[in-house]
Amino acid sequence: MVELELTLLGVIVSLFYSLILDGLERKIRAKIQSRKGPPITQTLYDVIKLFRKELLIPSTAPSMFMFAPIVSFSMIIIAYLILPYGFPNPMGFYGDLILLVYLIVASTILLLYGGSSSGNPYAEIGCSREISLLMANELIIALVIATIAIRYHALSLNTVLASLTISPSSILIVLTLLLYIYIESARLPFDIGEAEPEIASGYLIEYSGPLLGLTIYTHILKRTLLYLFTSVVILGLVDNIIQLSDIISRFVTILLFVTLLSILYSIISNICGRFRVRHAVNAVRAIIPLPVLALILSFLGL
Amino acid sequence: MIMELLSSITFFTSTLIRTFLTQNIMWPTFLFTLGILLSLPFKREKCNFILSLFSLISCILIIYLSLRVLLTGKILYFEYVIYRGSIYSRIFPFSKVSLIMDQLSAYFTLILGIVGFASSLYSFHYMTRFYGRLSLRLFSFLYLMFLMSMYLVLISNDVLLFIVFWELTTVSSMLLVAYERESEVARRASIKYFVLANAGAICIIMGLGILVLLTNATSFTEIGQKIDIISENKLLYYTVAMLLTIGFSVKAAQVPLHSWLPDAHPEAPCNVSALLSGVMIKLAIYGLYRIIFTVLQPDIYWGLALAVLGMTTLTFGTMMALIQTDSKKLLAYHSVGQMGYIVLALGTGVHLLAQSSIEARTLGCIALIASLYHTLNHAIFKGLLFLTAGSVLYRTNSRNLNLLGGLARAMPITFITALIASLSISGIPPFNGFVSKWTIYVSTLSTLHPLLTLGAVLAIFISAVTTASFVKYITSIFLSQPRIEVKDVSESPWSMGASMIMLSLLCILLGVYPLAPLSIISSVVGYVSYINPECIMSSIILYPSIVLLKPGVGITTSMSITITALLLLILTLTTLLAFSFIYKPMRITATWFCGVLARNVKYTAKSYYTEFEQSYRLMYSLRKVLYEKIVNPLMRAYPTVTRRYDKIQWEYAFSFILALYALSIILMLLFIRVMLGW
Repeated sequence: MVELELTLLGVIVSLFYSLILDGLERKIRAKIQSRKGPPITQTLYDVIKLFRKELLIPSTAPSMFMFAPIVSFSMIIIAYLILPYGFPNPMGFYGDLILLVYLIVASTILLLYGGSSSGNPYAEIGCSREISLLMANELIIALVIATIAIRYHALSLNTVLASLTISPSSILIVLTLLLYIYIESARLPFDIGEAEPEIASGYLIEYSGPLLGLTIYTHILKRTLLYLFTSVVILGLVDNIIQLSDIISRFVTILLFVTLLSILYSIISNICGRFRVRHAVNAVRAIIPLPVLALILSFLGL
Repeated sequence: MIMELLSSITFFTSTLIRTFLTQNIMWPTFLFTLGILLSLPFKREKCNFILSLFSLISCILIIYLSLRVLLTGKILYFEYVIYRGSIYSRIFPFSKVSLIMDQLSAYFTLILGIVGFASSLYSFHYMTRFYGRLSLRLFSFLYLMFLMSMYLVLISNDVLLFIVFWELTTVSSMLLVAYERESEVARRASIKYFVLANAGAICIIMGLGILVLLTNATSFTEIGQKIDIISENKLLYYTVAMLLTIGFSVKAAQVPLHSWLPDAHPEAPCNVSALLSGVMIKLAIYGLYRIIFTVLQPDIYWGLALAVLGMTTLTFGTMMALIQTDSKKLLAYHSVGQMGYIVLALGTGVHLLAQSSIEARTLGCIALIASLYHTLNHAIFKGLLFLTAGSVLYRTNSRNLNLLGGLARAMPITFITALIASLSISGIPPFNGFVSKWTIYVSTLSTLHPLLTLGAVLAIFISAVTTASFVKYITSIFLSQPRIEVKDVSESPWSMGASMIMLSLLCILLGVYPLAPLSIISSVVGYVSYINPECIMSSIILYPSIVLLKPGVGITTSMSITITALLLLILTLTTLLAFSFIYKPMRITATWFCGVLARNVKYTAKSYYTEFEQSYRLMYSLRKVLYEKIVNPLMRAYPTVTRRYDKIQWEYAFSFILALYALSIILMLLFIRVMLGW
C-alpha cells in the first residue's frame, strides 16, 4: 500500500506546488516586462489574505453564488486523486481518463454557473465566451481519448503511463495535448472569458474575499492538473528512453516536466495579445485536423 | 338472431368485466376507463380532481405491477381466446387477445408509471391555467386515453393489438398537442406530427405484416419461435429490419425523421410534453428492443446501422438545440439529441450481441445496460425539465429565453430542481446522467470499432454542447436580469412543486446509488440477451455514481481501495468549507454595471454562442441541405400522394377497386414466390 500513501503525498505536494508555480509565472512575467516582480510565494500570501477578508454577496445572487465555487473546488480535488504521479495510482480504474476530462469540465461549468448567478451582465458575457471555447476544445480531447483507446487499448491513466510508445500517432497526441491544455488553462490569447480590460474579469467580477480566493485557487489547481496530465502522457512516451525505475525520481521528473511546461507557457502567453472571440474559436477549430490525423493513424496501427 | 346477439353481448361484457377484475395486469386499464367515464359528467375542478386522482392511482398500480415482475421474475400474462366460428368472433374482430408483461415490458411500464405519476400530480394545479378557456373534459378524456394506450402498447403481445394501440397513442397525443386549439402553431404542429407518425406506422405495419404472413402467427412470442424461416433469407430479413427501423425511428425522432418533435412537443401543455418526451418516444425504443431481441435475432449490420443513426441524431439534434431561444423548443431538440445517445448504445449492443465471442457479448450487455439506463434517466430528467419549464410558464406566461430572468429567488424550488435536471442531462457527476453517459462512452470506446469509436467521440463532444446549452437555459431563465416584469412572481403551487421535487430526488438517487436500477436493468438485459443476469452483474463493479467494467471484458483494472471512502472525505471537506463560509461575517451589496445598478441589463440568450455557431456553421448548413433535399420534399409529397389517393377513392371508385385487386394479386404472387423460395 506504499503507492497509496505516496499518491496522497503527491496530491498534497501538488496542491502547494501549484501556488509556487503561479508565483514563478508572475516572476517570469515581471522579468519579461523588466520589473522586479513580487516574491515567488506571493500567490500563496494572496490566497491566505483573501481567505481572511470579509465576504460580500451581491443582492441579486441566489445561494448558488456561494456553493458553486466550493463544489467546483472539490471536483478538482477528486481529479487530483485519480492522477498517477509517475507510478500506478491504486485509485485508478478503467475509464478514469474520461472521468478526468469530465471532472475538469464539471469544475469549470460550476464555476461559470456561480459567476453568472451574480446577475452581472459582464459575468454572463464571460461565461458564454468561456463555454464557446470549452465546447470547441471538448471535440479535441474526445479525439485524443479515442486515439489512445484505439492505439493502446487504454482508457485509464495508469495504462497510458505504462503502455505508451513512440509512434506517429502518440507524437501527434502529445502535440495536440500541449495545445489543448494551453487553451483549456485560459492563457493569454485565449483568456477571452476573463479579459480584464474588456469585461472586467468576466465571470469572476462579483466574487470577493474568501470566495475569490477559492476561485483563484481552483483556477490555479486546474492549470497544474492539466500540466500534470500532460506530463504523465509525456513520461509514458519517453519512459523507454530515460529508464527510471525509482518511484521518487519518477515523481520528481513529473514535477520537472510540470515546471518546464509552466515556464514555457508563461513565456508564450506574455508575448501574445488577446484574440477576439471569433478568432479564438476559429483557432481551436484549426487544431482539429491534428487529432483527426492521429485517430486515422491509430486505426492503421501506426 | 337479435336475441342471440344481445345475450352474447351481455355474456361478453360480463366476461370482460370478470377478467378485468381477476387479472391484475388489466387493473390499470380498468381504472383509466373508469376515470374517463367518471370525469365526463363534471366540469373544471371536479373533472380535474377525478382526472388527477385516477391517473395517480393507476400509475402507482403500474409501478407496483412492473416492480413485481422485475423483482420476482414472474411474468404476468393474460390471454383470451375466441374460437373461430363462434358468435363472439363476429363482434370481436380479434381471434385472440394476448397481453403479457415480461421484464422488457415491465421496465418500460415502470418508466411510464414514474413519469405518469409526476405528470398527473403536476396536472392538479397546472390545468387551472385552462379553466374557462378550454374544455377540461376533453383534456381528461385524451390524457387518460393517452396513458392507457401507452400502457397497452407496452403490454400487448399480439401484433394487431400492438398496431391498434400504437395508432391510438398517436391519435390521442396528436389531439393533446393541438389542445390549445386557438393557436395556429399548435394545430400545424399536430398535423405535421400526425402525418409523419402515420408514415412511420405504415412502415411498421408492412414490416410486421411480412412477419405475420411468413410465420402464420400473430403474437410476438409465436413469431419469435418460428423465425428460422426469415433468418435464413437475408434479403427478407434486411427488408423487415429496414422497414421497422424506419418506422420506429419516426417516433424515436431519429434524424432525418425527427422534424415533427421540435414542433409538436413545445405546443402541448407542459404535463403532456413531459409524457411525450419522457415516455412516448421511448415506445419506439421498446419496439426496437422487442423486435430485435425477442422476435428476430440481433444482426451485426443492423446494429451498426442503428449506431450510425444514433450518432447522426445526437449530433444534429443537440447542435440545433444550442441555437434555440424558446425554452420548450430547446428542451424538445435535446430530446432528439438524447434519443440519439440511447440508439447509439442500443446499436452498439446489437452489433456486439450478434457476435459469438463471450467478451463481445458481455460488452454488448453493458452497452444495452447503458442504453436502458439512459432511457430511464432521460425520462426522469427530461420530464422534470418540461415540468420546470411549465412551472415558469404557469407564473410568467413566457417561454422566451431572451425576456425571462431573475426567477431564482422568486421560485427557489423550480430553480433548484431545474438546476439538478440540467446538471443531470449535462452528465455532471454525481447525477444520474453521468452514470449512463459514462457507461455509453466506456462500452462504445472498448469495442475498438472505427464507426462506434467515432460515435463515442461525437457523444463526448456533444455532451459539452449539451452542457453549454443548459448553462444558457439556466442562466437565462433564473439568474440574469429579467426584461419583463417578474417582481410579484411567486413559487408554483404545492402539487407542481411536489412532483418536481420527487423527480429531482430520483435524479440524485439514480446517480449516487446505481445498484438499485442496475439490478433491475441487468434482469431485463439478461432476459433479452439470454445471458444470466448474475453473470452480467459480475462483470461490473458499482461505486457511488460510477459503474466500472471488471477484468474479463478484455480490460485490466486494479482498484484496491474503494472510492467511497475518498468521496466521503471530499464531501466532509466541502461541507466544512461551506459552513466556514456561511458563518463568516457577510455583507449584501448591490450589483453594479457600467456605473449604474445592473437592472434590466440582460445578455440575451440569442447572442450566447453566436461565435461558436458562426465557426461551426458547416453543421447547420448540412441541416439546411438535409431539410431542403430530403425532409421537405417528403413532407410535400405525402399530402400530394394522399390527395391523389383520395381522388381515386372518391371519383374513380371503380378503377380504385380494380387497382386494389391488381395490387392484391401482385402481392399474392409475390408471397407465393417467397414461400416457394426464389
